[in-house]
Amino acid sequence: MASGSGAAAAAADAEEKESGSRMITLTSNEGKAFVVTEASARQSATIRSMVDDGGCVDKGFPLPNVDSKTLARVIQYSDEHGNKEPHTVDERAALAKFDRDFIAELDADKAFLYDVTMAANYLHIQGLLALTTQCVADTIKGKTPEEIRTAFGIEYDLTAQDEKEIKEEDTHA
Amino acid sequence: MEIMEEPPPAAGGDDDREVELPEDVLAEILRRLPPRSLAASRCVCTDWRSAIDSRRLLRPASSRCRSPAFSSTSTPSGSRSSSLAHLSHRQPWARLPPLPRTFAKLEYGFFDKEFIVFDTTVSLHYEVFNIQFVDVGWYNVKTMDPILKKSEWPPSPLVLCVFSSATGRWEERSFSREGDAAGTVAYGYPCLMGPIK
Repeated sequence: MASGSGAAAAAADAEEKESGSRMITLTSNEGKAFVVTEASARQSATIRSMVDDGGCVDKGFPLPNVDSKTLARVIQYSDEHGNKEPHTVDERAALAKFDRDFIAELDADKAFLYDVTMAANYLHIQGLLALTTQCVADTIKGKTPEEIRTAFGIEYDLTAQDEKEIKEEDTHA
Repeated sequence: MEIMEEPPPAAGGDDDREVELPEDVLAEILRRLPPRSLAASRCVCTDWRSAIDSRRLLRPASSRCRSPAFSSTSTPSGSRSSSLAHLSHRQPWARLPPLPRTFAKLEYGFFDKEFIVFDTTVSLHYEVFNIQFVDVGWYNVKTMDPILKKSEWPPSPLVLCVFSSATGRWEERSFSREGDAAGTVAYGYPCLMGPIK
């Protein structure tokens, strides 16, 4: 049985962990440090599992795959979703509006949208990944294969076999 | 599906850098697409094609018959005994039952055609619409019943005979027109006509 003060400290520690009030440092591949709340960082399943596995919270987490500009934007999302838990209808509506504005801004800069998408994938931020991949999917909808190639700068590399299959599909259609 | 021989050069600008999405991210995007867009995406490049095929993102039924080909033929004009629908590689032909005699018969100066309607991304079922046309030759218009000649085209409601592969039967289906008539029977070429009541 722990002593009174020890139990109190443990309880305080647990409470602190619970509320996510610890601060965590994330470092971009350019060496820039971003200090975020644990609640915000826990939006990332990658970081969450490292924290829960008793990882090096004090040393911070270097993110060699994420540049500063992208990380700042990812943190903007994680802060909004991690630091506030929407309880009321209004709060949920406000968060939904945040998401809409957030993605509208990214949609205007496709290259940056892809960077954020890949960071969300790397960090396993499910909500952000869903938001960004849906946005990319929406740009594919209604496009011909050629238009998709142009939009994504993809080179036509289908093999003769693929072409034969496509032609077969086409002539029967 | 339209397949170009050569992709045109990518337009200049800041956004034209090649996007190299990792396979798992690409799959995450593709799985959010409706079947029709997935079908287009399969023709983009080998990476996209294999991402879709390896995860079977496109419904197995439609990918197995590779967007089944449909076309419609009917037996020579005048004979309404049977129609054939070309369906897919697995089930190349289906014989449609004869159009029931109780349905509107062809008036003099009319001919009919069957049209197959389908969307394999929605369902492998199809419908065949039997549509009557006025033969708009000078003679027909001249000798046509004057009341019929001046009637609105298309009429509303327009009753068509529709075969459904889901039920395997012909049925009469009524369509109501949206907006004004396109013209009259005599001058509303291509003179789509419903059965005259």
